[in-house]
Amino acid sequence: MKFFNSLIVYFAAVVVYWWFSLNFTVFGITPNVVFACVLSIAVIATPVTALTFGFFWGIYMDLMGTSALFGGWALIYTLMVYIIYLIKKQFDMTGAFSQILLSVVLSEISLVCYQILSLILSKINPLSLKIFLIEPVLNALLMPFVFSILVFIRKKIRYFL
Amino acid sequence: MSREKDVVNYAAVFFISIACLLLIFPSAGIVHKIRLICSYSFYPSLHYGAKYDYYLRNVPENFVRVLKTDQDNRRLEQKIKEMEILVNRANALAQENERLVRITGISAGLSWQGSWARVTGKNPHDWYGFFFVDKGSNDGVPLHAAAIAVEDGKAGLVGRIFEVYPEFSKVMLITNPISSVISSVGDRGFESLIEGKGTWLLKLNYVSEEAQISEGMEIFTSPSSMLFPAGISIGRINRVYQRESSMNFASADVAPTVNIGAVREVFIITRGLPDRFRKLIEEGI
Repeated sequence: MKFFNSLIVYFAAVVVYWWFSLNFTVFGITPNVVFACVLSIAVIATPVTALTFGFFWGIYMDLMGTSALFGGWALIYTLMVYIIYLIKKQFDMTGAFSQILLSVVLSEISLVCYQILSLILSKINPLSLKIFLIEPVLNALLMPFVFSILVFIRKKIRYFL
Repeated sequence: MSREKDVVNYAAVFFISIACLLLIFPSAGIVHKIRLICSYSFYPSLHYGAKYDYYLRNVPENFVRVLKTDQDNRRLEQKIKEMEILVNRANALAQENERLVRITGISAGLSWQGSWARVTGKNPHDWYGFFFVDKGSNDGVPLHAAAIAVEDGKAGLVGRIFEVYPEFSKVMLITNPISSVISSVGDRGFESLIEGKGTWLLKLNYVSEEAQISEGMEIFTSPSSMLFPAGISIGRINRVYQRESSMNFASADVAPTVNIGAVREVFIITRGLPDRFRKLIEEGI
């Protein structure tokens, strides 16, 4: 039951991200709903569940991208979840302000890491300055909503996360 | 607690290793194929203009061909739309060209000297009053010169040059209510007056009873007219009104030879008038 609930959440995030990329962009940049979901799951779920979600959501982002890397986002999201697992006891990540701050910082770091990976492994520069400037802001604005939705789902559905 | 920590560490190492393996080792063709299928199915717009060479590495050739065929198809559809617009435009130009060739071919047989001018401006509030043409004094257009047009192979009177400017001229149409032309009716040459009514029809006035006009008779410019050369077709009688009660004249409606509202080019007749007549005209008789 927990597995099926997790699958539903996984595909729901995938569909929402896909719908956003087709219908709702800001200066051509889509708010990264998957990133916000990974961050939220890392805060509220058990570590192993969060690592699994992070890895497979990263695989989805690699599948959908046009970049030459495959596995880049899976690695970055997995590392991100692990880092949050290590630091979440020291910081309060349930408040909206801390979530926004965390989202901005981790967005920038993940984009830089992806850029470095792409330059090292495929010598291609996949990201533009526009993405570095706009996507973290969009993710930060989205983060509190996604977090509250996942918390709500966790309270309502017994076998979840 | 430490057991949970170990489990987390093992899970993290496991997933990170898998991700690194996917990154470092070239992914199999099947992975690339699945990636391309998913990506192209859900986000086809991402592929337009993408740098394809590296992205398509290890993808089976037959699938790459399918993808490139779809891309070529979209590009060609766009090109077809552009070509259709160009074809329509070319057809319109060809028709215009044909019409102009017909007109200029006929003008070669005209017995008057002059030049062609294009109608450049019409007033929607005075459609049958005046229009402007693109030739003026710089092109040798004289004041009060007659303007004719050709329609269905026949030349018909349109009006006269009313005002001349260096680059353009104003033509007063025969349908203008203030316009009048001395005309000759039928074969017998009875003279009468053609007046404009502000509509597409003209009025034939002061026709003597002896003329016995009937519908279908053709009206020409009269040799008595100082402004217009003789023998230019003005129109055909449309409807006859018997003599009015107070006068012994009949009148008629005349349909112009050329459709004044549809004229696009006019032939401005330049003829050498004797000086004494030219002075009288310029003084505004």
